[in-house]
Amino acid sequence: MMDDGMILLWGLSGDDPFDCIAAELQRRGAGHVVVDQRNLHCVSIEAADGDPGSGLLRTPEIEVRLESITAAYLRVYDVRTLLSMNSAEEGNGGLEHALRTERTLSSWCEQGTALVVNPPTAMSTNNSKPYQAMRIREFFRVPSTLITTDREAAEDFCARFDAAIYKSVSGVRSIVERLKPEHRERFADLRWCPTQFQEYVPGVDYRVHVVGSDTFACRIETDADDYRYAGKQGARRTITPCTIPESIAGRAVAVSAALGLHLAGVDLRCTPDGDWFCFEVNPSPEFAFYASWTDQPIGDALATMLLDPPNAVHERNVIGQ
Amino acid sequence: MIVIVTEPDDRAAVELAARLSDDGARPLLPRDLSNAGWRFECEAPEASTACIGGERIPCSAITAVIGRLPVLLPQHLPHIASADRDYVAQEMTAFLLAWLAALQCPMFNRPTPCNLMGPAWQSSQWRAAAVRAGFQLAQPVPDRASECAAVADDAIVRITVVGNRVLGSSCVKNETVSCAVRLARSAGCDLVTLLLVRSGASYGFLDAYPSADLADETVCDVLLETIAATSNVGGMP
Repeated sequence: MMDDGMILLWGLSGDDPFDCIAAELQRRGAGHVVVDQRNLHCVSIEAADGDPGSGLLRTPEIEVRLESITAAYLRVYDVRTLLSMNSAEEGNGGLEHALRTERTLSSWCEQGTALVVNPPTAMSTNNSKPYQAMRIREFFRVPSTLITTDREAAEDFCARFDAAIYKSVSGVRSIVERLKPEHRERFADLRWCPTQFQEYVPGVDYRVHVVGSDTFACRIETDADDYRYAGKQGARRTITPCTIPESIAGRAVAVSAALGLHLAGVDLRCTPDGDWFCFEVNPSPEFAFYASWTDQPIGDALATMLLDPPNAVHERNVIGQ
Repeated sequence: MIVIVTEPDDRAAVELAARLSDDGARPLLPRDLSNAGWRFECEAPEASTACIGGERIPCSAITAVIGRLPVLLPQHLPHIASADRDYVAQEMTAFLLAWLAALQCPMFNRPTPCNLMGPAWQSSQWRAAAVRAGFQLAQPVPDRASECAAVADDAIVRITVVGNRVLGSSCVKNETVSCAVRLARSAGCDLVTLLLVRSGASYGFLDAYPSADLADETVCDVLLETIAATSNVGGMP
């Protein structure tokens, strides 16, 4: 049984950011417990009734008292999808156990006094892009946005701008595409589901990783509308570390804090006129990918934060929610 | 206009909307989100238009919302091609969250990112909050589905907090009523039902959910009175 300050890692081994943090903690000799979602059927958690901050977490490797966990890093996938791919030996009982374990762990994350990077409720603002955008607007310009089931409204909106894009409303990953004439032929189908349109904002993309109050900015140059898919679209893409204005970095920290996020990937674009727009704040960024281009010590900063949580973590969680 | 966000199988909600239709109440059903006419601009939510029951409604006309759906599910969307239902359900849920969050009228309850009708608290979170609100806990049951089966029916008391009023509380002490109001406040709920279990002369807290029994006329009457008292100004900011 480990009873000293422990770090909980909850996610998938083999996932780059997750492995990066596990390796960094290992390198520093920091006590940590890994809850691998593929092995959730072998994990159990007993939280005290009425006080979910107390209890016992058991994995195949270790037993840990919940109150000894001082920080947690979450990079969680949909366990239903993961376990449905696993062998039949786990069966429905395995999935039910896994879901129950995750519910209890989520509840602990929301209510404990440990630093949780990031609390599930805070991460869920990203499930609705317009909902998140309305909160981002307090810190950054966001592109004009219409969500509609109405062909006429979409036509009117798109006519207001030189170009427009469309993308998913929810957190479902979609390729951002500039609207072309052939897309307009399908406007009659808009009635079936609210669809999100945005003014196209020209400029250069920046990804700012926020770790507590630290920022790591990089500049992305690409020919693609959505740089994440530049490779698939045969477009050019380069990612280089850069410095951004202090005020922009400060706003990136502030918007992350307002959303209750201790780690965030803030997607910005700077127009040729020098206006900074924010598209999204990613609550579970794939920082290892950017670090592989830039050599920025994002994982190192995150490990440091997990080992030495900032003061008033709990208050900040509450404010973020 | 009172909008009740619900689905066709929620008989109590649909019947309440029908009863109040002369006063302008409307059920907002998942099918309504597949009608042309919805317009929502993030930077000008006050100019938004809803399309409910085939009627285009300026959002400024909405005076209150009663939430009955935590999330839209694929099974709520039989009119959508089955291959697309999962995706469309997520898109509609995401849209409703933004749309509801932008409304400034009284809401029972305001949506949160994980639940369109209030806090997405698990039983353990309600119980921890109940302790902080001053409740003693009743023996927990393994999960919500079995909670009523696990406890004899006549031992369970349901009390409902609507705004500042507590209903169904005639048999419980004033102290318990105060705890219930504190719990509702801490959860950010204007509408919440608490399940209490009798144990001797006192009641222990079992669980809660951010909704109410709309088949209960007293609950409906008080809810409507609360709406009438608070919805002087409706619509978007």
